[in-house]
Amino acid sequence: MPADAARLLHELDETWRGLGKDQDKDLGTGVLRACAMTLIVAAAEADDPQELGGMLSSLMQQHPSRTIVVRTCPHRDEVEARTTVQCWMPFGRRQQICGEWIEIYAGTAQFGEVALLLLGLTVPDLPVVFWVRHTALGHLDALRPVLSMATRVIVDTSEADDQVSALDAVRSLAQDGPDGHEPVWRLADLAWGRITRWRKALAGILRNAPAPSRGSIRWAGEKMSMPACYLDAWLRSVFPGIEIDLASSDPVRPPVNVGRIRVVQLNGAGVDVRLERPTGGPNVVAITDGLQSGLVFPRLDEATLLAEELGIAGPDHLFREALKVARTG
Amino acid sequence: MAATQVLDDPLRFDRPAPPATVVIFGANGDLTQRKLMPALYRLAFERRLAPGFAVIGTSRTVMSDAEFRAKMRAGVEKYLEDSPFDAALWEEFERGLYYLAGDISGDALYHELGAKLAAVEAERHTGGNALFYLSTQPSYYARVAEGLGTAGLQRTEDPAAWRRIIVEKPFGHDQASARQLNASLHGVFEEPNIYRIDHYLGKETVQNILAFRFGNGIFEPLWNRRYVNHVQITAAENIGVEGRGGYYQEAGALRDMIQNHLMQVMATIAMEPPAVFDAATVRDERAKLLRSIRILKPDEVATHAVAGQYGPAQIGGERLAGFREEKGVAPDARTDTYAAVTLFIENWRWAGVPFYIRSGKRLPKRVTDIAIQFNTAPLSLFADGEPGKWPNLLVVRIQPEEGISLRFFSKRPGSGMTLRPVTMDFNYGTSFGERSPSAYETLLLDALLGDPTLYTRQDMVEASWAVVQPILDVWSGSRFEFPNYASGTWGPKESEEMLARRGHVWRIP
Ligand SMILES: NC(=O)c1ccc[n+]([C@@H]2O[C@H](COP(=O)([O-])OP(=O)(O)OC[C@H]3O[C@@H](n4cnc5c(N)ncnc54)[C@H](OP(=O)(O)O)[C@@H]3O)[C@@H](O)[C@H]2O)c1
Repeated sequence: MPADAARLLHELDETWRGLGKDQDKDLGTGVLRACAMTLIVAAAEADDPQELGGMLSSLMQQHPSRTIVVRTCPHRDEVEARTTVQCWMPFGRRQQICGEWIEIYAGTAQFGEVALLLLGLTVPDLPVVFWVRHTALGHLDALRPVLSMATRVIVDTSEADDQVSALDAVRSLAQDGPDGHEPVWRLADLAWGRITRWRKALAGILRNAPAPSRGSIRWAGEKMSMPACYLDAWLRSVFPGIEIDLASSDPVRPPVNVGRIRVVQLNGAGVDVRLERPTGGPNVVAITDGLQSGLVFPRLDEATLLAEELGIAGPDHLFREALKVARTG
Repeated sequence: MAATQVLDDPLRFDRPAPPATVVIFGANGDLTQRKLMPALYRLAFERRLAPGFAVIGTSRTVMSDAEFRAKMRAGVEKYLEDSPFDAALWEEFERGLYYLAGDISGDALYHELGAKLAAVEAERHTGGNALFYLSTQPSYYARVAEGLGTAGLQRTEDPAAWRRIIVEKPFGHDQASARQLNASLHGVFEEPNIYRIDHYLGKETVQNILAFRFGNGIFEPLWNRRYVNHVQITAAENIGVEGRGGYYQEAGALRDMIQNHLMQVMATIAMEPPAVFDAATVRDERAKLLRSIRILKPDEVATHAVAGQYGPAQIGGERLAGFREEKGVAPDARTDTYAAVTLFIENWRWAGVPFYIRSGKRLPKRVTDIAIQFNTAPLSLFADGEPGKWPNLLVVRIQPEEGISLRFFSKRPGSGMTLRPVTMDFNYGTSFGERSPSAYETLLLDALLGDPTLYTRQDMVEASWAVVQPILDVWSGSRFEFPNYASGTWGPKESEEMLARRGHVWRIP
């Protein structure tokens, strides 16, 4: 049976009714329906369902949503969909909180059909967040009707092999609104979230210090890392005129989720700061005016990065400024 | 230019609290164990405290640092709410806890404290910042300030370092003593460095009232005398005085709840929109509202205020003691364990709208909420509705389940036009899966960051005492037939009569 929005929503309603009945039996300790947005996730067929599911349900606890996962299956010629309700028990509470979950399978050729289906499935009057997890950015054209109703579009260039085209794609998504206007959505890149810890550490260290005039950034892997690219852009946008030297310090590119930025150094009259993360692990050494101290940068996974993005209300001016001046070498 | 502000990104990371020592007077007490330490530990858990953070606890009981740490750990493990205890984190946190035994009434303590502060500053790099927390008997507040002043601890040589003082409730026991306490504090600390705590203002839902009122355009146009019929503010507890009879006997519900917490809640619900959201402007608006409350004349008190005291009751086979039988309470105590008042705000927005406020112990349940009762429809088309069943009502629930409900009439399914009140609920906890910080976490962090928005100011405290004082004066010369309500009921019948005079009834929350 082809997927149909009305049928899927009816299915969800039935599930809720069932859960509601259990609630009566349970003397009021049943379930609560929670929803703050529609989260659409564009995923690949090969994405491990366990991993993706676990990640999204951990996210749901902070950001309850109707989650719709669209899996791109190149060889499929029909759109298929199924619904579930995901529940969890918050710490110290007696009542379960539940969010809705819809999974759609489709080939890229059916994206037009998927777009129509999604239009019927979003929760009315709540934000729509579109997370492009794996689908190549080029394929997004067919999903444009869905993009156009998104309040946020989230991409992740952290692992991009070609920074030049990744940055172009991000810039065009950020600017690409109807009739050359600003888009209705706010664009976010998880690679930007990867430098939050660096920025926070620098903000703490440089509080009350004069502005630096020169600096350097080093990373692991031959090609430039996108987080390093953003860190450079941020520093240049907040310290106009600063000169930053960019280079790789280690040809070996570490695995996914291991930090690639290794050294950030800032100097100038009255400023001498160096942050070193020798292995990309959690331990970071801060050397300020020759004095050494330790910092811990917890490992970042997709769920943490996504939660950070979803927690942001309003436009992210600092990211937009950085995007404008970002360079890839 | 200092890099300070340009590097901050309030969207993504919180401004870190500066390094500081929190000095707790009364560290051997109940509040420290129950609220302050769990809140500080939780802030450490959230990584909101600077590495150079320390606590010096002080009270008379002799304890080593290790004993103090063990006692605090037990408190945190017992009272930490909504989150698990992390032993590894505790070990890191407790390295910053120190203890100093001494008597507040003597001078020696303050000189020893000066030396201890200097030692802790050197060891923990606290930058000379100190936050003094008065968590001891209120009769000592002025004495502590004076002691700190004599030892010169209210200021430092370093112009970048700060010294602040947090004063717990109650702030005075009447208007005169509140003024006196303000004067004593001002003899040592400047007003911007005095943080008077009202933990109700730190509650997320009370802060949410401002978001609800001024972040949405829907409600504010209705928020005035044209549409609002009256407002009811309720803070009910089902428990009695629970071992605090001695303290409570002197305080009573009007002082303990209404003068401070509920009048701040009333100010938040009724204040004008601030022009900008900064500490001074928000506090100016709150203060302005409190000053606009009409002060009762002595002969109005009987019709505008009701005192009650609970008597014994038999509930479910169990006999509950009356207030006068509680430990530490005199058998002829005249304390109000229940108080209800009718207040009017004299401004263009609210003139003529009664604000009913009640608070009591041993009421049927624990609940704090604010109900805005809107006017009924001008014509009653559907006479078959259930009148008096509280539709047209917006309820802001503060505890236990925080949220906002709108009650309105809806057609009962089936033929005919029968109406029934229904509720539309917003539940804070389920819309945001995140845990809300406790009031003490919010307030302690704000004081460390130097943000006094959620603290009360001298003029606010004095304005609310000015409202309550005439009632206290009349009551102190009155003879009440106490007890006048049974435990487990909604208070004395005089309270119902007070509302009935204006054709209103208390809701059952
Ligand atoms: N408990 C609450 O839930 C709560 C709620 C809101 C506000 N408050 C306010 O917070 C304050 C503290 O409350 P609390 O319940 O923690 O009081 P508490 O349990 O009585 O604690 C006060 C502590 O002060 C110490 N102390 C007494 N006399 C002293 C002296 N002469 N010199 C030095 N230390 C002395 C005592 O310890 P030693 O015997 O070791 O000296 C005692 O443990 C009070 O003002 C109260 O009104 C409390």
